[in-house]
Formats: sequence, C-alpha cells, structure tokens
Amino acid sequence: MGFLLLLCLGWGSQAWAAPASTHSIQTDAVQTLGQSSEWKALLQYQKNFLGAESSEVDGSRFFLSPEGRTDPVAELKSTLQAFAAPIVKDKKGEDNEHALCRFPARYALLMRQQKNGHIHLNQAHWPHPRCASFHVYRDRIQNRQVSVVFSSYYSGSASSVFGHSFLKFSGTNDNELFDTGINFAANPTTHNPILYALYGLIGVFPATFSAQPFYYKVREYNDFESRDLWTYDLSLTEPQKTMLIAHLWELGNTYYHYFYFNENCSYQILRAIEGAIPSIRFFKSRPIYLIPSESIKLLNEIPGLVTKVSYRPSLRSVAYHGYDGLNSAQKKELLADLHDRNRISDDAHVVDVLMDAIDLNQAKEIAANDPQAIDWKERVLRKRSTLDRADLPEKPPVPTEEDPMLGHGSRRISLGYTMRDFSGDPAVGGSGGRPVLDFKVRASHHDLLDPSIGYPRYLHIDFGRLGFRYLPQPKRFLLDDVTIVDLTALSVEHPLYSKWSYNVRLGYARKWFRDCDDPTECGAVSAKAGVGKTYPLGGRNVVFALIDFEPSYGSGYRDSRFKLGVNPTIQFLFEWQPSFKSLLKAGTTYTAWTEHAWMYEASLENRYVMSNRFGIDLELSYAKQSEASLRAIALRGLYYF
Amino acid sequence: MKTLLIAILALTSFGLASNSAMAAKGIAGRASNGGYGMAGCGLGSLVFKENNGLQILAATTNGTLGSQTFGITFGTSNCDLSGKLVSKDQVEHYIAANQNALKNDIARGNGEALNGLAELMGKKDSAAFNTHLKANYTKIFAKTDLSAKQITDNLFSVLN
Repeated sequence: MGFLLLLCLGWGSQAWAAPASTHSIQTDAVQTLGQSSEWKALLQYQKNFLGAESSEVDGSRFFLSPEGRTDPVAELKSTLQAFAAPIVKDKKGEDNEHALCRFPARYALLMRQQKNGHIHLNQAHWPHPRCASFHVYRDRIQNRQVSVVFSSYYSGSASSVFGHSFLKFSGTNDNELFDTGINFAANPTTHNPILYALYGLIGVFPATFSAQPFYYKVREYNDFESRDLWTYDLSLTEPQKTMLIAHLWELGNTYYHYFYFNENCSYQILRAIEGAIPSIRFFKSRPIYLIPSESIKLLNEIPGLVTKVSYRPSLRSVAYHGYDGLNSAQKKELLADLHDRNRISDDAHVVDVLMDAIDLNQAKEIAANDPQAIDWKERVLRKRSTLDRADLPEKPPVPTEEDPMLGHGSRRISLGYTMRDFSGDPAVGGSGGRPVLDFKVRASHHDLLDPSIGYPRYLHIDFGRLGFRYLPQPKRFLLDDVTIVDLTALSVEHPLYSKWSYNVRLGYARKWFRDCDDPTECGAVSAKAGVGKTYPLGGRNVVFALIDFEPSYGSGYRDSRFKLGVNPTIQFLFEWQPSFKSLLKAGTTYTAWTEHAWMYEASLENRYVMSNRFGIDLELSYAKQSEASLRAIALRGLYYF
Repeated sequence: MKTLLIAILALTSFGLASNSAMAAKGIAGRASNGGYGMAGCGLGSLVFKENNGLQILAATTNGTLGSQTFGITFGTSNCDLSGKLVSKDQVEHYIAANQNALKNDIARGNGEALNGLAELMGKKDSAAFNTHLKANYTKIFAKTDLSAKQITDNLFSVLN
C-alpha cells in the first residue's frame, strides 16, 4: 500500500509533506528500520562466503554516511538528515543533486514505513526539490512489462561464450524496438587482451548500469553477432516495477568493480531486482561465480515469477530458416548468387535469403564500410527494391528446447570405475585388469555429450574442472585433472555459412605415456589449441576433424621435460535423443622429442541422462604406442546440479 | 578488502595464479581488436565509431564515474521512445542505429525496423509509407557512403 502512495505522489513537483530533524523520530524505530532486510536490500548489502555483510556498491557517493557501506543504521540516519537538508543548486542551477532526487527508492521505502506506522517522519522542513533529471529518466522508461533478456552463447568471442543478460522495460508500443534495455557492464580501460582478462577477473574495471533503446541490443546481438535473444517476462506488480525503476536510478548514479566470474552483468541485474523487491531473493550470499545462463534458471526457481518466455531469432536462425523454405531450384539459384557476386536472382524469395546471407557473412565488413561488401549488398538491395513481393520472410519457429532456462545444472560431479589392461610394455609389467576409481567436479558448464536441452549443442565449454583417481593395487591417490578452460566450439558447415571450428584446453592431466617415469599415470601441464571443420551428418549428428597442437611439460617426462604433440582426430557425434548421445573418436598423436613418438587412439563414449540430472556414461577405449597397448572400459555416474 | 578477497578467490578457485597469462588470451577473445571488442557478459560492448561507420553503438557511459549527476546514462540523446512524433534529429539517430536493418526493410517494403520508422514519424498508414519508401529506395540511399544525416534529408525530401 505504501507503494501506492509513492505512485500517487510521483517525485519532485509535489510539495513534500512536513518538517523535521531526526530527533523527532524514535531512535529505536530508526534502529529497527536500519537493520531491516528491506533497507539493507536498497543499500545492496550482501553476505560474502564468510557471512560478513556489507554493500557491494563501490562508488562512495552512493553512501551518505562515511560508514554507510558497512553500517546500515548510520546510512539511514544520514539519509534522513540529507533528505531534510536545504537544496544546493548544481552548476546548471538545478536541484538534481539533492538526496531526495538521487535516492527516490529510499524515499519511497520511508514513505511506506511511515504509512504503515513503523516510523514517524516529521517532514515539515524537508525541502521540495524539482528532480528534473530523474523525471526525464522515469518518463522515458515505460513500465508496462519488466523482463530479463538472455543473449545466447557467442563462441566468436571468448568473453561471450557464457552469454549475457540484461533488463528490458516495455511500454504500450507494440514495436519491441522501442523498449528500453538496462544493462550492467564494465567500462574497460585497456585494449591489451592479457590485462583485459586479468582486470576482468580481479575487479579492476569499474562497471555501471546504462540504459539504451532495445534496438541497439537487437542490432548488436541479434544482427551483428547473430545471437538468439530469449526474453523472460516477470510478474511484477505496479508498485514493484515503480520501485525497481527508482532503485535503478540510484544504482545508475554510482559504480561497482566488475568481476567476470561473480559480480558480473547477470548478477547485478538480479541484485537490482532484489534491492527493489526484497520479497524476491535469488542469492543467500554472494556466489563464487555466476554464469549468465544459470542466472536465468534462478528466475525459474521463484514460483510464478516468469510469466512468459519469448524468442527473437538471430540473423543466422532467420537466414537458415529462409534457406530451408526455398525449393531446390531456388536453393541452387541462391548458391549461384552467393558464388558469383555479379549475379542476382529475379526471385524475391531468393533475394530475401541472399540479403540475410550477405549480412551473416559480411557483418563486420558492412559495419566497417568495406567498399566491396557494401557494393555487393547495395546492388542486391536495389534489385530487391524493384521486386514486388513485400511479405516478410517467415520467422523461424521458437526452438523451445533451446530455452536456456530448461538446461541442465552446469555443475557436475562424476564417479567412475575404469578397468584398464596394459599389454606389451615391459615397464608396466604383465597384462591383466587394473582398476581405477575416479572422481571429478566441474564448476561449469557443458560438454558435447551433456543433454542438449537449453544449451548450444555443438559447444563444449568447461571452466574449472578438478579430478582425482584412486588406484587400489598398489594403493595410490592421485590428482588426475586440473582444467582451467576446455573449449570446443564446433561450427557446422552450412551452404550459407562456413567457419572454422576450434578448440582450446589449458590444464593438467594424467595419461598413459611410455616415455615417462610413471608411464601409466604420466602427469603433464599442457596448453592445447586446434582448428578444424565440422560437417552435418543428417539429423543432429555431425562429424568433425580437428588438428591440435599441444605443448606440454611433465616433470616425469624422459629425454626432455618439454614435449610438443600434434594430434589430428576425427570424431562423430551422434544425438539419438537430446539426452542420449555418443561420441566416436579416432586419432593419432605424434610427440616430438621422445622415443615412442606415435600414439594411436580410438574411443567410443555413450551417455544417457535422466531428467537432466542423473547421467550414466560408458566409454570404451583403445590406445597403442609402438608394440604396447591399453584397452579400457569405464563406467561413470554423473550428477548435474 | 572485498575486492582483494574476491580477486584471490577468483584466481585460486580457477587455479589461475600461475597461468593467468595463458588463460587471459582465452577470455579476452577479440578484446584487442580496436573499437570492436568486449562484447558479452558485461565486459563492455561495441563502441560507436563514427569514422568507420560502425553503426551498432552501445557506448553509453560518460566516463565521469562517481561524479556524474544524472544517474543512469542513456545511450541516445533525447529520443522519445514512446512512439510519439519526434524531431528530425531523433529520426536521424534512429536511422544511424538501425541503418542496415532499415535498408533491408525498405528494399523489401516491410519489416520491423521500417515499421518503427513509420511509427517514429507518426505515419498512420504504414502500408502506403512502406510502399512509397520502397519505390524511392534509390533516392533515399542514393549513394553507399551517405551519412545518417544525408539519408534523413533524402527521406524527408522523398516524403514531401
């Protein structure tokens, strides 16, 4: 009800009610309110993993008390004093600097508390500032519907592989382009890629909220980067929406330190909602990391919060769908047009797809005004303007199963039992079964055999993986796997679009390697990178060939502790069902500076996952180095959370 | 202190302490690529570069951290987003941001960006508007190197 008061009053031009200094308010009421979860939420207080509580805002102007970051009661007292302080005009002679203009959500909370009888504010002496800037902002952001938008994975840039999210406010206008996006982003101060990544990890960059018309987002994500956008409408009440807009104004007035893994875009978007609407709690404390797609799943954990999911296809999705809609003669014509830039079809259907295909392939060139790209596109456009048909290319259907909200938990633990049989290696000893138990934890995110629902099916990205193995005879407990990043981005060849697939892995792992002091458990640190091509095999099945280069360092390596491996592979990925897949792999590795230079490997791994949570994985593998070989069968149980 | 603590945590939890330089390359992606970089989860966005015509702009901050008076910043100047009739400057801004999509739509004679333009200019009969612009495509986009202002001028002259 207090919110209604806020609505009716608006801000600014109304004369504030009455008088007062803080003396007239009961001290205990201030204590109580100052310690309340609502007040602390507005100050963006959060517990760290040790349970200590303080505000996450880093800009000092957000606090009116010098102790405001850690003492919410002091901040409340100072806020009351600042609200009662006389107006000091800014350089332009306006009142925008007054605390009543800068902190409309705090004011709204106080008014609600007063209305509910929890405190008594004597406002007679509060000034009546004209909050012109806030009014401009508030009037521009229409609040018919508040949504969270997820911009899907973008493997073209490693800083975007996890996706991105932002808030969207829509008004009565049916054209979504005129909605407003509110984004939280770092303002990088360097273009040096190493410093950039490091600074992003350790919180050097300042980050701020900003607002833009939604069409910028559409052009950037949908068109330029070809990323699908998923929109989640939130069921907020009118007072909640008003409060959120007011609170975003307060947050937009300050800055944060940006942390790539936890205090990132998705986190702060949700924290802004928590701040304005304390009944919604996404986080008990600050997470160690928050992946944008995981933040979307958090929306779903609050019953009834998400009322509608909508999808805005990327340029690629539109172009591919347009291509699928052509008959074979039209397809042939389109491909001829793509091949020969001097040729343009007379069929409007074909030209429509051609336009999208050019945009898809030449996005950067067109944006940068590359003369050849511009000239080609312009000739196509002029031709299209002479062709009659004006109905739009059909939009692709919503790929419901790609909705990131439905994805499996990106954390995974697994427990495995492997039976290995070495033969032909005198250093290992005789053949016969040698069991291994292994345990692995993955911080995030998704691999090629994990269920496809909610994830890009041809992207494998693991960030943070740790594994141990236990050998019963003789008893040994070993660190098995430390993966910092393990990324395979497969780009499936399409008649309209061709791109290299690539992979990168950085970490420590153990494997069978004969020229090692401990050949069956030879550990090495390595950095692997490779490129290749991926082709469709019908359905969702693909085949891909990659060639990897892998410099590695092993303290147990013989001859030289540094080795360089070159590893071509061919792999077949079969998707029998989104949660039942197989990966068949064959490859060879040539290792320089070692005695047994050639290793041949083949494996077949099958995984079935029930209800996106419990998985079972069976892997058969064979490897050969000179006359010695290793046969293994592994059975693993997986749990996603 | 919080900063430091999180920093240490972030580093150690991902084992980056000794490998940060190598990891950095992966995470940074195309960050070094001049004006375009840092797209993605909050690590910045495309930056508007007028000189090379990059139309997708998302530069929003005014760089005066902590001292800015006007709170949350807008990426566009004074656009009335409610779909009311707006000034020529605002049409120009819309054209600059949506240029590629608008050209596609005008050539086709239909589309979301074109509908937005009609709305922005208060054209009630958008079908007639669309047809008219399609027929005048070569007048509006007379050359390939026009500025948004020139395109706007051409648009207005075609409509008059």
